[in-house]
Amino acid sequence: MRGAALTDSAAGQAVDVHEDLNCLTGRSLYADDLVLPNQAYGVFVRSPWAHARISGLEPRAATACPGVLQVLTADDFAHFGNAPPGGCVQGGLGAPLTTRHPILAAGWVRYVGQAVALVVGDSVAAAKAGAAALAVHYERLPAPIDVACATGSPATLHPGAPDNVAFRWAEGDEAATAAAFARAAHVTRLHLRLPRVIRSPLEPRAANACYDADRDHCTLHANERDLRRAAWIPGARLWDIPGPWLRAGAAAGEAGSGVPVPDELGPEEWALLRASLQLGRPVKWTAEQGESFLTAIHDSDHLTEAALALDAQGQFLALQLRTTVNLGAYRSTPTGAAAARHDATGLAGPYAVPAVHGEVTGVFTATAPVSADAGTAEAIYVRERLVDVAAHELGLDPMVLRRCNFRRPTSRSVQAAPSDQDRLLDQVLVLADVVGFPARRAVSDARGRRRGLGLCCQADTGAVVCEAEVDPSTGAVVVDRVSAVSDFSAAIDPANAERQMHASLAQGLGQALMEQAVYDPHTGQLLTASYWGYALARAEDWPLYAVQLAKGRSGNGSPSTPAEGISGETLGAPAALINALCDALGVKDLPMPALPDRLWVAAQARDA
Amino acid sequence: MLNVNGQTEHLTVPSHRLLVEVLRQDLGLTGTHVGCDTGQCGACTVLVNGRAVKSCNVLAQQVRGAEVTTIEGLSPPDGSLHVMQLAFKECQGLACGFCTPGMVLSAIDLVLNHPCESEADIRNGLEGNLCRCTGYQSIVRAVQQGAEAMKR
Repeated sequence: MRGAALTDSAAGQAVDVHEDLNCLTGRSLYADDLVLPNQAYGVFVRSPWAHARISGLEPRAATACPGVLQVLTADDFAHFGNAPPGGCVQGGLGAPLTTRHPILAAGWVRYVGQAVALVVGDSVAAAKAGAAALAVHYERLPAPIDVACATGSPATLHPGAPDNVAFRWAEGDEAATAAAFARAAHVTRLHLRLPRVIRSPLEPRAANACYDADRDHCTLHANERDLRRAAWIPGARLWDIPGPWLRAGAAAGEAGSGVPVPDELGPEEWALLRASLQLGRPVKWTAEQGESFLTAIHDSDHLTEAALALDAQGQFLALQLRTTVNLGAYRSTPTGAAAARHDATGLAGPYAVPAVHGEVTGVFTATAPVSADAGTAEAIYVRERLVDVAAHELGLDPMVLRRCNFRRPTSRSVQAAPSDQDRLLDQVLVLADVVGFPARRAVSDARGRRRGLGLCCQADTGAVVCEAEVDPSTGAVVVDRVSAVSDFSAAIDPANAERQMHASLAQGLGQALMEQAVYDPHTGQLLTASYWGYALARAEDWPLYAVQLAKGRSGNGSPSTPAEGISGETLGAPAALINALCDALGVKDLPMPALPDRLWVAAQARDA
Repeated sequence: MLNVNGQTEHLTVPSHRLLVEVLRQDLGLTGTHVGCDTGQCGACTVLVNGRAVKSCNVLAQQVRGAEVTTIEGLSPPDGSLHVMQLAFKECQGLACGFCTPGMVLSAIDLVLNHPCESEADIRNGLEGNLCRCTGYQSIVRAVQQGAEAMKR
């Protein structure tokens, strides 16, 4: 992240960010800008197949190419297991399967784009020519691609997982939840698919590894976000580097990316470190954009069955969740652990729900690995959609249903003292001018458009309201109003906090409306490997956001939790927008992303 | 012969070489960024004879004799900022900063050569420049403020 001058400013005052000046004048140093003396250039040979056995790998032709300095394959990493460090899920049902991501593919490739070899040359052109000359023979194998059918697929990815299941996780009180469902007056059920997204910062992945023989240490300059885990590296000389030595370098430390892509070093970085050690020269690699899309750690990709039990008064009795999490081809880091815990335990959010039970199954597919961060946003989306659908089915106002189920310090009755969540909701409803909504809807109706309003209460830390208009004859959407209130506890720089809210709102709106990573279900090719296929919102897609920091808290509760609030609105925006679109069209559910063709079909079906 | 930021550069450039490659690699002007390789993101935007051009979609040979302005050449040598840069700074119209040089140069072209009276005009005019981190709001505010300053 950019450096901020905090020392001279008190919390609550604007902070002057010195780095802005460098960014504005072109003096910022990004990973690809760095040129080290005598640097060589690395190009990765990547798998063209989703799943295959490598039956032969012949580097001689590549090595013989003019300007090629070395060719690294899995053999170069055999002595330390050919895998970067990683964690594994603690607990769970049965022993979790640990399958670390190989640095370079050893024997098998398990997703399109997996690195097979690193060719280093004295120019990019030489390395590319060497990479093209490298002979790799593959025997293609059947590949599980779609997470919905992976567990029943005869195609298995790892020998230890015949059903492609990495782990099963359960949380909560199963018996109490079942009992609550048995006595419920109403049960709302929802099947949701949260598509895979790619965080895709504009800056391509790039790294420059520099080995210094005199001091026997390796410096990595890379634009990965969090290099701290590099300190976990055990054993062999290359990896046995104290954390401070493996410093992030200018690209990450100075400018870096504000978008959290992989928060651990990827296989590419480890391969470059090794190449530099062997060669005694800096080795630089800059991904082409397609490469970034193929190998950036992807996010979300959950398949969920959820149910909400209510009594005759509309009080929540129980929540139940069964989620299948697509892990991609490897669980090289604690991937999936966070998803499992967040999905199951975060499900109730701001509501008083006596019984909650969640089951999460982590499944391998022949696709790029999915982020360890997934889970929190998905839980909010599932819950806030469930509440809206319950309100829809029962003919209740979604706002009223939410409010009468908020957790309250002493009593669950509506007459109890307002909670912080009540205050947040009051604040965001005023900000969104919800009172004026019927008039705006009437104007839209007169123009042949359908206007809807959607709400999301993500937790005690924030709430979002969206208003959107759909043209039923085309499915085109105008996101007209977006309002959000977030509790940052004590914002050091309020204006900057508001800009963080803008950023996270935009991410969430994009996920709801247009972003999705698509793999061909048969071949496992990533069909959305550039901005031609992967939709990133442009300036005209969004309105001006109305954002506010939360006003005073009740003072009787625990201190607010900025950990979630800091970027919380990303988490609320998808549910708020999908709720608004469902409200606009008068339908129970819409698939995410809500693309125009899907909205058009929903509108036509509703009118038929 | 290339005219970049007011300086004449005598270079031997192979015919296939892109303008962005010459700027970044031969001239060391790394403020011009390569984001997408596909002409989508606009991070490589420079001004050619005052008009915004995506330098990843232009051969260096094509701009022979033209005046090329990169982000490094936008502000005078005395260290002061162009009013559009100043507006981006004051409105904090950036987060990671990668799209910023392209945004600033596109915004200048927008103000000089296109109608940008309304917020909608500005949003529409920035269609060729992607930003992943800001949600665009602070950028739009910056362009509004910068446009006012440029018209004064």
